[in-house]
Amino acid sequence: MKIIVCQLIIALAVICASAQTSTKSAPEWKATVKVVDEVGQPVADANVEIGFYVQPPLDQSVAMDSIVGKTDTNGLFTTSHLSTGSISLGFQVTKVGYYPTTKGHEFAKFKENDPAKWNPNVTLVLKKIGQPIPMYAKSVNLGMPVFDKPTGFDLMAGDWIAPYGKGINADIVFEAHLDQRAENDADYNLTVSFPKTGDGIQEFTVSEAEKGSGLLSSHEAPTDGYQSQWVQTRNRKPGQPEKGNLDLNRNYFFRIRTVLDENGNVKSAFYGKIYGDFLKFRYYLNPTPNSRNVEFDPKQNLLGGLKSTEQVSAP
Amino acid sequence: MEAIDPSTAPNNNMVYSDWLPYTNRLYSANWNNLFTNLDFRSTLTWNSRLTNFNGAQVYNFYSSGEEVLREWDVDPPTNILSAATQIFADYWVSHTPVASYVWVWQEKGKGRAASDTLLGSTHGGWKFNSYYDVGTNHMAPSQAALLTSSQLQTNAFFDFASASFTGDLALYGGLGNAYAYQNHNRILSDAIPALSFPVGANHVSRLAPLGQPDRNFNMNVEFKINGWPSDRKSPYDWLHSDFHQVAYTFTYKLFDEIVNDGNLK
Repeated sequence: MKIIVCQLIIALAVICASAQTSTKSAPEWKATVKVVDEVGQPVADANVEIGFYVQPPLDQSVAMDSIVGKTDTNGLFTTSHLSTGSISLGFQVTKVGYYPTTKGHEFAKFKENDPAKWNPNVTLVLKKIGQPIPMYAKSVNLGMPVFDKPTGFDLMAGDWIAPYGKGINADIVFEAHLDQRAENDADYNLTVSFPKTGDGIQEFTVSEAEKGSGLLSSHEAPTDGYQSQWVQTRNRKPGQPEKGNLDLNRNYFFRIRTVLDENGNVKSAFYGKIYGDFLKFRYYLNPTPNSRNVEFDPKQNLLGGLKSTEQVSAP
Repeated sequence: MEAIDPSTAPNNNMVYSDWLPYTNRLYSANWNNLFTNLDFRSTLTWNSRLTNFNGAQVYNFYSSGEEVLREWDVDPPTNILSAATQIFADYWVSHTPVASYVWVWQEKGKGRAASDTLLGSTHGGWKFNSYYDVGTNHMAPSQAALLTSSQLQTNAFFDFASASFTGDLALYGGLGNAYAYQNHNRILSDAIPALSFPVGANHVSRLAPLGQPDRNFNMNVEFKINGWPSDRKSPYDWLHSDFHQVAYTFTYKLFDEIVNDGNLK
């Protein structure tokens, strides 16, 4: 015990000494932040905050500091600071009327001789707060109630349709086939289909600059490009990593309850979006026919009685 | 991850760089494969170490923003594997928050550290066995690939011994099987590195049974609510131990999930 105490005292002494000397030789980081809107135009007068970890007091494991400033007319903000040993920088931009956007810069992800390591040049997109609306929004983590049988899910009820739940309309139909030879030896197909003509789904991607936005999707779902079926595959073999097309970071727009006119044009439909992949995802459904707005107001969820883990707090 | 999910692929970012040219058959993490199931030395691996759930439903509450279990793709900084006092000093000034990357450094530091006291160890792991050196260089990968299993069983390409620790050389002897049985956990912790990333920062496929609810929860994405404490700045990561470091008002979804999953109400 005495030896340990002595070692700790020596260590602390060295820490204090090293802290003095290391700070002097620590590299300086210089960050340039460019803030643009959704069409790529510079956003002036945006608030920029760059957070970084600092040496914590002895009784804490985490302490942070930050530098704040505003973008100029070119949407630029530049600052520098002596390294505090922080493993990363965190960028946040805010402006009244816009969703905040964040982004991280982890130094260890860059090679030592890469100029971008200590001089990050970051572009962030600020998305305007448009018209947040009440929506049916829910986080779900589903298990198939039955295999090899089409099973509908009602997005307005937030549940499977009878006899597996209280739903009435089969907005999305899931059919899973599982060929399970052993726990780690199986083939699985999940067919996600939309029973009404004109209904469907389409994937959307989010650019690096938009990934940290408070609003991940665009403000509106697209008018067309929906496909009536999506097949998820997952294959497991002993001693091998799972293969297939499951992607936890995938996002979709969807259209349901479509009514077509005699020419096959959309007369009426409901639009929405999904963050995540099947069968664990967060969905948002606009209750107004033909409105493609998918900007959710988290204070106005049309689905009541949700557990806290099912609630949706992001637009 | 391989400990609970044997299908997890080995990750080259968990391999010390100077071992990458060598066939993985020579790695300490795979030395167990040289022995039959009847020999306890065959269990000296992290792979499948914790696969037996005994029928329990296992849940993984992980954080992609974790700093302690975070990926570190290259070799650990050499000063981190030096004297204990230097490790303390360097942690304090060069890698905040404290203990960032330490899990990977611990694994990659096996056989590469200056002492056995803090991070890594002096023996096993990624230490080359100088017996096979050619002059001042390690044996070429092409030559090393030709070493036979019987050679490696009694004299591995990595080094079980160091100047300060020679005990594990008993694994080569006639009582190697019994020695492995008696020292199993200690050998794993000292001398056998994991080849995959840690569960606490990653999604585990095995815990997402096909057609059933996913039992992985990324706390950094799913459970941060009402913002994050004001003294935490961007990028607002859910860090190590934040389930109790951060106030309940920001983290209660995690506890609600546990209550729901465990039917604890």
